[in-house]
Amino acid sequence: MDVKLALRFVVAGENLKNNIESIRKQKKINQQELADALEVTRQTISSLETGRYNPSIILAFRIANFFNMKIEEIFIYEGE
Amino acid sequence: MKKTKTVVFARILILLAITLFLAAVITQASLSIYISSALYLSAIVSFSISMILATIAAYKDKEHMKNVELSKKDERIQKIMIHSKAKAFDVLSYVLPLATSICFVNKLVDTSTLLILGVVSLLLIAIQVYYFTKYSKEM
Repeated sequence: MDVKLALRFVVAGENLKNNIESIRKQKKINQQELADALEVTRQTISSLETGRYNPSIILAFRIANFFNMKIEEIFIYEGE
Repeated sequence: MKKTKTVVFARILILLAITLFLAAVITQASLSIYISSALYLSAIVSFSISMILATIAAYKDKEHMKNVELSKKDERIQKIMIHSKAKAFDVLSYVLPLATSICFVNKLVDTSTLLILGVVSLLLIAIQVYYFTKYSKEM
């Protein structure tokens, strides 16, 4: 892969923010309950909330479906 | 995994297998070939039994099996596994040719073994190229 292109992906990954933690707290759900509903581990939810891991598009849609929200209300792409 | 009697017994057997193996290696020169072979065989049998017991205990522990199933579905864990495998392959692709070169320079092994090591090194690259082409067509 072209190095510049690869770097753009990394930068794009770093600029993706999410509101999972605040929405989860609003709905009074703990990490384990959310993890069970999405069929992932609690560590994955923790990593998503802290921004250490960016989900796949499938998981992002599952999260949006779970909260009955649009995907762009949860995930915010801040650009380069 | 829950610490049941089976798990404890399996752990004891693993320790026994390691001890037997080390004893076989240390005493190989001083003892007769039959005794050291018996020690090696005992280590293998002990290790195999411990593995069977650990597998049985894992299948009986529903909480553990649930976690295993969950980790199979979890995309983050899958991604971590793929990344770690890829990193291991990267290291292997440097280490194997290096080991082959060291063997060749110092004449540590015979020609046929060198040939096998060389073929394996090339095979790794060939497999990587094959899967790169395959996945490029699929995705």
